[in-house]
Parts: sequence; C-alpha cells; structure tokens
Amino acid sequence: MDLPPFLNQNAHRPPPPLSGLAVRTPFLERGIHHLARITRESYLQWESSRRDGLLQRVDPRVKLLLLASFLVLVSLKRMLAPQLGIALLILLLFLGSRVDLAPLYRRILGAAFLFGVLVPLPSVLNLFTGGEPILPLLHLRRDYHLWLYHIPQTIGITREGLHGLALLTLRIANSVSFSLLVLHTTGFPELLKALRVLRVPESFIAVIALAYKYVFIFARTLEEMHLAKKSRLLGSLDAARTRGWAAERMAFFFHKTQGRCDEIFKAMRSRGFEHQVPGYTFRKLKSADWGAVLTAATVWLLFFYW
Amino acid sequence: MVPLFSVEQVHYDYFGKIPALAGADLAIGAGERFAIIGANGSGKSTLLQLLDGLIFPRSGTIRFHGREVSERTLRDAGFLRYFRERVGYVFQDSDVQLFCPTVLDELMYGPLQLAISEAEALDRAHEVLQIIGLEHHTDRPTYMLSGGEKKRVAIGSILTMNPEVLLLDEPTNGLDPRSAAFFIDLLHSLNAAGKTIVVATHDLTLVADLEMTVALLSEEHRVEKIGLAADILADEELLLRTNLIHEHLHRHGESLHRHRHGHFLFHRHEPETREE
Repeated sequence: MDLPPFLNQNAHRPPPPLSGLAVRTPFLERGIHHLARITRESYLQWESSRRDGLLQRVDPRVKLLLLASFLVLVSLKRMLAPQLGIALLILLLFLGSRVDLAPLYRRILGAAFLFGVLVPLPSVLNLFTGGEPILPLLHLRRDYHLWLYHIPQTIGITREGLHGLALLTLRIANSVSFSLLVLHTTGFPELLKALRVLRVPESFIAVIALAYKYVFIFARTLEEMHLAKKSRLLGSLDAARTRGWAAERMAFFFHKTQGRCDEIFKAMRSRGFEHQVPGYTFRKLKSADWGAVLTAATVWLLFFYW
Repeated sequence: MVPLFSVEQVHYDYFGKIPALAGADLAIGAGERFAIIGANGSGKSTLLQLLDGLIFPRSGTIRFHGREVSERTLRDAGFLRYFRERVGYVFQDSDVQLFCPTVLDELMYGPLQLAISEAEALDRAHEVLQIIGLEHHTDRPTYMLSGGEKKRVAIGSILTMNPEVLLLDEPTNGLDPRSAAFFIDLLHSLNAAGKTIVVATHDLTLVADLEMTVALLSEEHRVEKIGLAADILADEELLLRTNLIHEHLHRHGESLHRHRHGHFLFHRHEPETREE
C-alpha cells in the first residue's frame, strides 16, 4: 500500500522540559467527567447491598414501607432531641448493615448543609421570622415598615431562627440518611419490584427499569466519548468550543437513542411482549421480616410519643 | 537506548475494587509492532488507555520517551501537546471516536489542532481519504456509514495527525474479511514507514500476520509472557491456560470430535482425543 509522503516523515525528538504552563479544563468538561462517575456510584451501592448485614436480610417491601413510615416520623417531630435520636438510630443501622460510612456521610452532610443551612440561612435573622434576638448584628436608628415587611431596629440572629435552622438541617439529614440506608442495603432491581407494594403500576416500573439501565449505557458511552476527545486534544479547549462539542454529541445521542429504542422494542416483541407487562407474584415474608416490622413499629411509636 | 514506552509495576482497579491490571511490566521500542493479547477482561484495553494517558494507574509508572505520563505531566501544556501529537489512539467503538459532523471534518480536526494550515490539512485529508477508500464520502455524516467505513474514518482521523505511535483497540473486531485484510495491509505499510504499532486484541490472526512482539495478559491481570508471535502462538498450553484457545466438540459428518480450537493458525485433529 502506497502511503502519502507526509506519513513517511517521522520527527523523533525527546520530550520538551515541562513548561509549567497548565492546561485549563472547562467547567463543562469537568461536568462530563463527574457524570461518568454514575457507574462507580452504582457499583458501590450494588456491592454494599450484597453484604451480609442487618438490613440486607430484610425483604425490600418491608424496607420500603419502613422508609415511608420513618420519613413521615421525621417530618412530624418538631423537637431537636427526637431528631438527634433518629440520627443516632440511623447511624446504628448503618453500622449494623456494614455500609461504608465515610462516603455516605459526606453526601448526607453535603445535602444537609446545602438545603438545611445555606438555603434557609436568612431565616435565622429576625428580618423574616420573629423571635428573641440572641446575637445582634446590626443596629438601625429606628425600625421600618416596607409593604408587608417589618425591619426591626436591631437585626440579629434569633433563638427561634436557630432552632428552626437546626430542625430543618436534622430533618433533611435524617430523610437523606434513611433513603441512602435503603438504597445501600437493597439492590435497585429488587427495590423497583418492591414498589408494587405501594401500588405503582407495572408498566411504570418497567419504564423506570429500562430508563435506569439506559442511564448506565448513557454514562458509559459518555465516558468513552470524553476519553476519545481527550485523546485528540492538544491543549486547552475554550468553553465555546466545548459547548459546541457537547451540543453536537447531544444530537448524536438523540439519534443513537432513537435507534436503541427501536432495537429494544424489537427485542421485547421477539420475546412475546404484547403491550402488557406481566406481574411477579410476591414471595411470602419470612419470620425475620415480620420481626423487622415489629421492631420498627415499636421504635416508631417510641419516637412518636417522645 | 530508552524505550518508546515503558510500563513498570502498573496496578489499576476499576471503582477501587475490581482489579484490571496487577503489576504489569513491559517495554515497547520505537518502530516495533507490539500486541497486547489476552482473554476478555484481562486488562488489554485498560493497558492501552493507560499508555495513552487517558486513565492513570493506582500505582506504578508509565513513561514515554523516558518522561512519566501522569495526570501531573499531562496538565503541562508543552508536554500534553508533545504527547498527543505523537500518540494516536483508535477506539474499539468508532461511534464514540467520531464526533465531527462529516467525514472530512473528522479528518481535518487533528491537523487543524496541530495548527497546520487549512490548505495542508485539506491535502492530508484527501490523501488519507484515498488510502481508506472513502474519497466519495467526504461530506457524509459519520453516523450514516457502515461499521467498517466508520472504522476506516476512525483510523484516518488519527493518520492525518501523522503520529509516531498508533494505539489500536481491537482494530479488526467485527470487520468483514476484506476490511480486516485492508487493516492488516495498512498497519504493515505504516510500520514500514516508521510508525510504532501497538494493538490490543484477541485476534490471533492479526498478531500472526503482523509478526508482532506479544505481551500475553493472564486472566489474573498479569503479564504472563512477552515474546515473539511465532513462539507465543506455538505454545498451545500457554494459550489454553490464558483462555485464547479452547477445547470443544466439533461435528464432522457423522463423527463428533473434541479437539483444541483457535480460529487462527491451526484447526487440527489429534487422534488420541478423537471420539466417535
């Protein structure tokens, strides 16, 4: 095979000394890289749901009902002490279920800080809610009335505001913790099947299952595309060109997804799909599951009357 | 002499849990034809991606021309450019590699990044289009091409950058015999022109045809043996142990035979294993 002359030119030279000039990574590029971590997160979740732990032995339906009932409990309790008690209970359940604590608590505390501290932070001031200021921050000459708002003469952090902030933070932390506790002790497919106990229609569950699976195919393809681009990238890419690449790739994905949908539908038809999703029969709950229900109900009542 | 690539005690795990490489050591010389072979999941593609600095080892070192290839060194603008213009990577799935609107755009992407003039980039693209036999498909969107054509565009998009090394992941996978033969001819010619060819494959025909130096990865993710293709492919016990050939039943007319089978160099019946 005759090659063009330029392919016969080989310039062997040693690497240049490091210039110290760093390559800039656009925000979108980093976002793509983080999206690709979905697969890793899912693997870790699957792996922890297969461990021999306390909650892993409990039927997914029971866990789902416990999750729903404890979320109600978390939203009902208005005092800090029971919320702290629930947080301690979750920690014990995490330990009993042999789940890796550090990555989970990073996520829990992150969500609690963002939605429980940062977003409602202004509510600790007596600008929005009344209350007894315990830490004055600003002293005005007089108080003001602006339409519906009243600005007091002394603006400061109130006891009631701090209590509300702490309560909200704990509620968010406890709700996220309970959800993660169930997610990390139950395989996602089992969890989907268990949704039927909440009367979610079969066809809806089938759509979630397909979508969930496609997210991983999507993440994997995205990661490979990211690597393919990286392998041909010689320097910094400006944000505008990165956006252009992302837009073009989205169009490609849309095209590919359409093709994939057709293929999946054909595969379903070839295996007898007739627009009806068959339901599975539930297996009987074991005595351990009933034991878990009884224990959880007792704990629920204890916290309820605290 | 400093090898082109050197890999020293490289370990890599997926998700920090699943081992992909467990202490790989090898060296690839300039102008060499080098194959990384092994069964599915043995770590071939991972090793190739590590060589291209797309992912980085948990421990161990990879060097290119004596310079470490790491996250730190590839953040340096000078070294990144030096490395990427010399090392081209052809992905197994051409769809993920082809991200430009048309075939011509795809071929011109690399040269334009190298700051080659548009006229020269266009010349290169047309010359490469002739080699890959797609000169009548210049304006076609890549998703409208067949699998074999996509693969040709994928290698073409790397060739227009004139790299010193070509890393190819399963280049003949899923290709019809004529397309596979085209690739083997092309790789012969590129090697004769001084390019280093590194292939990750379990296509033993490709390895034999190109008479490559072979690093055989075991299912335990280690480099089991490095040697010439002729020696490695002649070692049936080694190939059997590393899951590159297999024993299974075959029907020939009325008789059923069990014999070792690899769809490449040999397909022979041994009397002592014959079953009626």
